[in-house]
Amino acid sequence: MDVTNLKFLFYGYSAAWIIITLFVLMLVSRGRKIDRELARLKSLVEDKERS
Amino acid sequence: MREKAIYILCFLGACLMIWNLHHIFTEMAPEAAQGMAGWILFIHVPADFMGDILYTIALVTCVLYLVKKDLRYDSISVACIEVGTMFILVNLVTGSIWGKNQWGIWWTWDLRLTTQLMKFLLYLGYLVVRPAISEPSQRATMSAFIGIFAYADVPLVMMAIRLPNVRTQHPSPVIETGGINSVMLPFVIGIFAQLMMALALMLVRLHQESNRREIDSLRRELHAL
Amino acid sequence: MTGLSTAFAIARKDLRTEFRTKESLNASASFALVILVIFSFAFNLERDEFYAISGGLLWLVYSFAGAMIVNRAFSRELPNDCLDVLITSPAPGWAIFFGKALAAFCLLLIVEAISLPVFGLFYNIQWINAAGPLVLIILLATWGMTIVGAAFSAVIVNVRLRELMLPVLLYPILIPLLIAAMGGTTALMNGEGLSGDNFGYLRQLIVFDAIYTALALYMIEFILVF
Repeated sequence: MDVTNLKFLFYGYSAAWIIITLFVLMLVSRGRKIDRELARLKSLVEDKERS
Repeated sequence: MREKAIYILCFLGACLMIWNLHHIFTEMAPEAAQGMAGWILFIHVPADFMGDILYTIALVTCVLYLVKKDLRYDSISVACIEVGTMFILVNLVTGSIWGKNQWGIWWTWDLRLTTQLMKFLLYLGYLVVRPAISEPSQRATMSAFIGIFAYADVPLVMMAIRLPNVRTQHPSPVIETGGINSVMLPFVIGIFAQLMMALALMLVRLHQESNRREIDSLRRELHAL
Repeated sequence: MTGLSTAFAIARKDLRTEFRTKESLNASASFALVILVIFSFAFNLERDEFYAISGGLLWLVYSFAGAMIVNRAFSRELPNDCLDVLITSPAPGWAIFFGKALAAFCLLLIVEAISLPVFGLFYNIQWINAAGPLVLIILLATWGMTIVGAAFSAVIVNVRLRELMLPVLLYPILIPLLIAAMGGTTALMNGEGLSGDNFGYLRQLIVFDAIYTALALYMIEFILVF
């Protein structure tokens, strides 16, 4: 009985950690996309201003 | 500076959670009625608290946006609601796993679980509609409206847990009945751990939102040039 | 014009437009009938067992038909910039919104009135005996659906994929209303009255309507002005 409950405790904690990790990964990938877009737009604006 | 703050907060939060886990395995006896699985409480309940706190902050900033039309309030709203929705998802999933262990079922349609799921769906709707509107101030107005409408469920969930006569299998709240006193320390540590994590995630998200606002203004500038 | 007469004028305009073309009435009523047919294949129940799911079935059909109708409430104003004209007119925002909600309410009632006898026919459910309280529940719940639906329709009128977004936003908010309507309707179909335990359903409907009508009328000013 105790072992089963420990198993479920493990499942519960790992589920929580997995959700948090996936969210962090999602944030990181979105952050990279935003940074790339920002850099691209900044260079475009500089080119336009120079010309 | 901001990045250092994020790393420190994450590290602290992770340390606290690991300490909690260590404490459970070395010091704590199995909980009276539920065996060791009852200690999922230290993630399950603080996740709900953090979610509710974040949603309340989002409600305030949504109203502030509608009043003052400052896009920074909209950024805070979306950051709060995204992180808050993640915490409510953690709450639902850990609760479901606990339920499978205790009652043998993954889900039941009693008042608490239904209202909690409804809360999750309402804010998920907020997150789904936001990308579909391209104009920033329009998007902010719509999101503020949806965020305010969606908040109606949060007090409903709190009431649902406390109503005396509702037929439900969910255990009654332990904070008020004092059943939590013996395990107060890991519980409070659990809350702090999630608070650290929430703050770290919020900082990251807010930085992304300010970048996005800069992208919007650069696009407009490019259009004008 | 006072606010209320403006609201009625807008409601009349919407209803007149709809009755001339009958496009959303036809689409919504046909959709409701098709759903009724499909649901009859979904369950393999004995004749009497249908009474236990009658309320749920009926309100599923009504809510799907309702989403189609309230979606049109504000999106019908998009061609030719009619929405901008309405917003910039001196009419108060709440009057415009209330008029459109009223028109959607009448249209949805028509669709429901068409589908109710068909529902009774297909599933052999006797609802005539409980007609009075049933009409009350239908009126209250339909008003709740239309007021919240019209509010969200105004919110997402300029969004891409409008027809997909409205159900995503609308149905979670309607969960308490649908629970009360479905529970009350099932109780009525099974011959129980609306007193005692079942009165809670009626109370929940009235509270939902009151809260969300007030909230929507107050908030709509912030939405219809951009």
